[in-house]
Amino acid sequence: MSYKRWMDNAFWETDEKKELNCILELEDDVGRVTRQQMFLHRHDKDGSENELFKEVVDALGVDAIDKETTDRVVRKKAEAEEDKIREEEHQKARKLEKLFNYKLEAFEVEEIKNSKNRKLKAKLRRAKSKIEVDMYSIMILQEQLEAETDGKE
Amino acid sequence: MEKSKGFIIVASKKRNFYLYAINLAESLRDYYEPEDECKICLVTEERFLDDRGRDVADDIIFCDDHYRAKLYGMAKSPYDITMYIDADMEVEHEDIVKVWDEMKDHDVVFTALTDDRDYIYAERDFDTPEGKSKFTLCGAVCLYDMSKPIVREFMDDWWDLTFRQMNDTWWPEGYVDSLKSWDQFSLWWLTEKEEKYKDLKVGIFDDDLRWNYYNALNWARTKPETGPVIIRHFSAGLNKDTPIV
Repeated sequence: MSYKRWMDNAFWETDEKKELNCILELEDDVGRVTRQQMFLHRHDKDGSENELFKEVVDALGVDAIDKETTDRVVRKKAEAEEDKIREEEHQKARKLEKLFNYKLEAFEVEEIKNSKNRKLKAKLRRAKSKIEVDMYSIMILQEQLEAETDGKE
Repeated sequence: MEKSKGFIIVASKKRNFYLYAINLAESLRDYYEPEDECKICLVTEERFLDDRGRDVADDIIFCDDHYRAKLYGMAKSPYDITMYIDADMEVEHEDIVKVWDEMKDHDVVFTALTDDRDYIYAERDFDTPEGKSKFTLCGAVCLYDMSKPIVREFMDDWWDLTFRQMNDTWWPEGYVDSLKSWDQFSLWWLTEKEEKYKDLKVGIFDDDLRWNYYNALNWARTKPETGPVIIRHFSAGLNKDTPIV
């Protein structure tokens, strides 16, 4: 049994409601369903009323299209906001990976590798930025240097 | 007598894994209170071991350079209650000391592979002769009770089966070859297909994201529900082949 229907997610492209974005769903005699997205103008080039446009509006109703248009704006805004947050989190995670690698490099510096100062090494591991890593690295190096100097004296 | 408790970390094949392992072991000591009760067994190749490894580990076991030496190490744990952690992870919260409570009445405890975290998995769904299936257990961390004979046997079998699947001396009919590189497959096989493990009590960590938070996960989509991350997994963001320095 074939059918043709306008999907209920049609929305106005402009505030003037002269353009409509909608999807036509068709099923053929063997049950294959296809969907076609359509961009319809209220009037044809010669100024006459577009029959398809009228058909969609009659089928779905102006109020329903108005509601879907408003809902879509809200939905799109929320999606954009969520995408933005996800991208920010993605960047944070990449930054954390880079920081992790940077710390491992610091731990391979001979003086830091050999340092027995667990407290400073723990602070280095907990560091939240490269500057903090550098700071604790310098403190460990300085301590090692002082220990060497004291040993010589 | 009270059961002994300790962590096991395995670093084989590449020196970077040894450096990750040292970092992980030291991070365990940073956060575990009281620190002297934090027992660590380091399983590594003799060629990698240096003073850092000797200083941070209570026990050292040597392994060969097998790609999945982790399973060899897990089966050799010197502790009754053992927490295995992948080397490329880092402890970042004091709640690590509560890990033993997760044992409950299970034999082995894992973190889960779930549909909502599907976006970071390389290969999870697969065909079997009986139909579609998917991995549900993640082997990155594993808490297990080696004082139980069934668990000791399970760990031995997991290592043995993985070894054989990877050197092509065992592979069941009807499974795609790409699964051979995953120890999740041998784990799936033992827990789903082996009759002798049908009563093995397999558990999942409560709020398991706290115990194995893959840094590849997107925090806006996937995060723990009951508290901060305890162990973070850096697997995806590391270049394991390039020397760190």
